Amino acid sequence: MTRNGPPLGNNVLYKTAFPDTSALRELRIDFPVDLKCFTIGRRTVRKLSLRIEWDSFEELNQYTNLECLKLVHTEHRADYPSIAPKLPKLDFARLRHLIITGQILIQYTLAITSPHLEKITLLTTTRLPLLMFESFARVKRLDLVIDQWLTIEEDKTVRPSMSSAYTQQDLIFTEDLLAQCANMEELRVWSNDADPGGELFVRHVTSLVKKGYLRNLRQVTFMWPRTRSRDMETAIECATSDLGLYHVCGISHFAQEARCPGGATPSDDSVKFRMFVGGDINSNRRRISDLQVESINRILSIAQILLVRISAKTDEKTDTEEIQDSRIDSINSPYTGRTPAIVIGHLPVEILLSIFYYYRDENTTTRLSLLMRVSRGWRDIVLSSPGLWSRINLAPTGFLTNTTWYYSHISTCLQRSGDLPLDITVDFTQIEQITGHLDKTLEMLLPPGYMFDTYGCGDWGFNGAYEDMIRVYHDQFVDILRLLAGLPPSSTFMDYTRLGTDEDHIAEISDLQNGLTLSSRHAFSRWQSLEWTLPSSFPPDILPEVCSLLAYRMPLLRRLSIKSDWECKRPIVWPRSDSPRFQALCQLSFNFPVVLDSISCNPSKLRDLTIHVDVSSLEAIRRFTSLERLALIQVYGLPSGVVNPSPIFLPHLRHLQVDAGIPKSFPLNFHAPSLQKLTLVFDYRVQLVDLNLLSTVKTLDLAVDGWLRRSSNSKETRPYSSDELNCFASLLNSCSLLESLRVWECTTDPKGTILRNQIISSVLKGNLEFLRDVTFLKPMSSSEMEHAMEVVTYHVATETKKYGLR
Amino acid sequence: MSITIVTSDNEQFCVEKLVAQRIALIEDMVENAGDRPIPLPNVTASVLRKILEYCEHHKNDPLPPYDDGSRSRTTHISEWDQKFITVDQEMLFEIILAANYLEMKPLLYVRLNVPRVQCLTACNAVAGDIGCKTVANMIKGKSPEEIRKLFNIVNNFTPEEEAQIRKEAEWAEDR
Repeated sequence: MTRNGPPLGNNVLYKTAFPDTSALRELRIDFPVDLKCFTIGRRTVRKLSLRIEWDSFEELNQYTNLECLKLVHTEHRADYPSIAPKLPKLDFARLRHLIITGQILIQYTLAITSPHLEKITLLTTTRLPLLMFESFARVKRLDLVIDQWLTIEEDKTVRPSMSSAYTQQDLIFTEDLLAQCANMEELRVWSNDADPGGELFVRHVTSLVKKGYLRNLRQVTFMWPRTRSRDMETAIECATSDLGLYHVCGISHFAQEARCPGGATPSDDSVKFRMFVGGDINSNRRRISDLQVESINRILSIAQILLVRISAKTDEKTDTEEIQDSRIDSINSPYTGRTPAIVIGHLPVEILLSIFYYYRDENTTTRLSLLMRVSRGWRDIVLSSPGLWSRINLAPTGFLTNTTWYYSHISTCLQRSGDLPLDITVDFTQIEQITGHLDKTLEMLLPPGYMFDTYGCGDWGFNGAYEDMIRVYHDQFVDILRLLAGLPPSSTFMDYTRLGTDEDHIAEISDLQNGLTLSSRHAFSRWQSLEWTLPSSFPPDILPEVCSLLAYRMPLLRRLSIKSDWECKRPIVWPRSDSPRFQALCQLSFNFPVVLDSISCNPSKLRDLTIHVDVSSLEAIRRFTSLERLALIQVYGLPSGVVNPSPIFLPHLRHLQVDAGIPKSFPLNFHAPSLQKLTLVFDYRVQLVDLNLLSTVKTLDLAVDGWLRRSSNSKETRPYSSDELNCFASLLNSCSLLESLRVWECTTDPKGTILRNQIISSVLKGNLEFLRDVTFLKPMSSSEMEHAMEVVTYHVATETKKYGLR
Repeated sequence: MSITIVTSDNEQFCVEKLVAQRIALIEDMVENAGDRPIPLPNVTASVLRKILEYCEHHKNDPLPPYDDGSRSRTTHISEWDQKFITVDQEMLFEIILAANYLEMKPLLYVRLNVPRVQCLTACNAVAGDIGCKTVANMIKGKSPEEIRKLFNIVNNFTPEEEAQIRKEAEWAEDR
């Protein structure tokens, strides 16, 4: 019996006359009712559906033959006690199926004794909340229905993917809920548009299985709401994961077959669709359902999901196989031949995300847009992972004409990264220099044999254009830094927007500026690492301008690196600050002269410093007693002075890198008892290195300055002189604890044969007794030492054995 | 000293303790197992064989230093690792999953609410990282359609979404 209609007062209801109810089996009341006053069907009803209030729970025990009970929460009445009432224990001897809203489990501590309870259907009106219910532990089947998911297509408006994607909180609550269902064998989820096939969800379930929960879980089914229907049972079945074949990742095998019965071609909005699901396509085939699907697009989507999972091997030829064969043939994969049991879709989200991080770090952030276009699942992962957007990598190429795109990209990253700390790289060294294009143009005009340089740019009247171009780049660079900092762009920005004269373009720029203002407010306070590389063509006055942008307090900034190839003869002085500007700074790197004392940071936090050497910087280094790595760069032409003769004590220093020419100008008087690694960038002659520094060194890296600057393909060779070899031997013999030697080499002795013999000779003389291996590397396109390629590694024990010793 | 590991398909492996200790999960289990074999119900023999090959090769490597995540990570893979990971897609994913399971670090860090970036950085230590790098390298330089074909991923965007995405893509590539 069903009684619908407007809510009735309780005093009205119990006076209502009902017909004979002795045969009543099913009762559904869709309005709050006081059960104390409503006694019909208590012995006969098998299926009861109620909107229940707190003081009616006790009466439920009167329904002694219930097999299915649905309880929906109500708004509290005015007389609801201030302290949540303690509910009586409910006892249902025959109850098999409990349908309950999450809100009831939140409002009340419900205890139900029901020895035959097999299934719980959980309905929640919002995203899944945190729920605790002891009956979860007993059920074998759980239907999880989040109302919001079901309503998404009610009015045919699909919510944006972002809002319907699972949040981390959703997944944690889901995990807590599922972990309570220790005996669950089957789970059905009424899924949402962000995850219709349940791929994200299944990965989470899988991670639970891997942790040892849900040992009995065999199958997870995902349901998709039919258009304009909120009825659970009329939802279509979208995908089923058979967990019975759990294998490493939890879901090892989907072998599903889809076919259109009778060879009918899906052509309109009403098509029969039959789906078979089974672990083994031959032996374990079972029919799930005939589905009436209204949307042809949906059918095609489902069919695609199923087809790619079809195993390639069956003896009998079917229509499906033909479709499948053509599908597989069309896949130009290096690993095709059969559809693997484990596919990328089985990877947990955290691993997929790890892959995306690697992908991002190898490309610029802009390439994330490609990942977002692969599938809905990937798109959701990328969009819901602020960490992916927290690294802003800007390395413009060409003539940097589309500045608006870059500004928009900055805005997008600042917005999508949420409040996460930002890692920013801006590299302007790849922008096109106008001189290169002029060269090419003139080469075409000039007769063969004439050198462009003999004419000179000025003679052709291009000098002005060149300077203008540099100024444009300079202004754009500063604008980008300002936008990243959350500061309004300079007037140059507005000048360039005038290039677009149509109204749409102006409106677009206006929106962009507003977006930037909103998204990047205080963005500099989120800066965690900054790496800026300026082209050598920039005028030197940009350095003070760039440094002035770093005049704000940046509490999170840990790494700061600015590189410029411009030869700067006067050290940059940072704007004065009363309080530490870079409180968290632990790594600092400049390849141009900077007055180290003017950088306002916490000296005890700085661990890694790369700085030029002059009298003032050597004196300033004394403050940084926590340094673990120090790289000293030689800059020629700086004013000399008198160096403080007292030793610089760096108790934690483990790695020192020096240009070997430095000690000639500035005696390096370090006391570094913890030094383990020494990197020497030298010009053939290794000398003037303080021998005391070598006594504790276990790893020695040698990079010949001139070699690094040559390309690896350089044909230039020169033999070692005996003097150079003696210097090398002397250096090695001073490293009595040396375990590992790496030599950056590319021309003179690319495979290290000469130096290897020198080393073996030292070993045979009883020196270098701890040396294990020697590696020779050659520089790659980058002059960065760490980007070099390993050419050969000699294991000292093996090499000396050849001489019958050691 | 060696320990015995039993895989999901009941194959037994006698492994040098130094090698097995590269696997965090086994290192934890060794403490409690005593002389009993250590079961790995989620790893097959073929996958474990590969994992142990990796551990054997890297048994003397120092542990990677802690990274706060602010540095870019390179997808460079050493020559030996490159050969090691030259397997078919199925084995590649199995290695990734098994390494994930054996290390357990990602799950651990998620449970401890460590920020995502740190969690991922901590995962660097696992052998599966080579697998992740390999997959990232496979994706590199490919169009979405090529990525779909490579990994058999279904394009489940609706036509409306496709249109919207295409519009976004035009904007993204307009540089």
